[in-house]
Amino acid sequence: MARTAAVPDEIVSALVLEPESPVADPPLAAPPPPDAPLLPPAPADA
Amino acid sequence: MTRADPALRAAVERAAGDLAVRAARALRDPGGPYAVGDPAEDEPITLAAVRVLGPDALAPFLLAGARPAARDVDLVERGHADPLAVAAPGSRDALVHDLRDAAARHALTLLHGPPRAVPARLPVTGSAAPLEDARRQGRRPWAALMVLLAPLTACPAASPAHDQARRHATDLGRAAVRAVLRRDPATAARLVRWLALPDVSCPQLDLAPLVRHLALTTAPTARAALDVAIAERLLHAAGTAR
Repeated sequence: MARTAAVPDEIVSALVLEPESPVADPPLAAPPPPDAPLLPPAPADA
Repeated sequence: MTRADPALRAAVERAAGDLAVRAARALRDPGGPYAVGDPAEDEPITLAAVRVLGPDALAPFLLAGARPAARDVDLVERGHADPLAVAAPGSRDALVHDLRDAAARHALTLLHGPPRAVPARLPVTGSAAPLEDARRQGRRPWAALMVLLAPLTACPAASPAHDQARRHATDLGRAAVRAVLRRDPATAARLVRWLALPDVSCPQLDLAPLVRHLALTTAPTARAALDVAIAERLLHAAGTAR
């Protein structure tokens, strides 16, 4: 392999700063109300 | 070759990944061979890869009892010889580079220098204000900065980031759990390293099963696998089943 010149600081810095943490926590789904049915109601012709 | 040469960047990324794989293996198999440099690799690429991992490249020496050879010391010294001249002074990125470089140099002194030369705290050459700024901005920006600073946990020296980790351990725990819930194991692996330090306590979080979960989950990158291996070693060193 041919000798490579010194690696530019920009490349090293970019890799140091990865993996960048995703800062946007997606909101968690709201829990269902306590009296919510476990299953949706059956269709009328079931 | 341009400064943003994608092939060069890919070569450094691959070399850093290979180094992370070797370091993780050495942490999980103490007593096995470990060397910072790969003789088959072009030296400038090796030096850049060492800089990318920073103190983590020395983790097998610091946490698993491996003994550095003269070439390991030489590579880490030369890899961190000059400051990275890319970040604006006083910026968040400058703080990340400053602290990581200081931790790598501190670890080298610890492993290779006279014992009396080892200070208890990392010297901060620039401003630590970005840490306080991130706290003021909220938990998420702060946790993102602590993710970038997680390699400091490989080095047994205090720093402003360690101080904040102790003070805000619950926020670290919350951020780690949120990362797991959103299927972001790389971020979670970085954050559990802080929580695995012996003086960082988040009683609401059962840390050992979380770290075990991350170890059993397919790591997205070699560096994330190394993060988990370091967290495991830190927990092991603390002799805890938190």
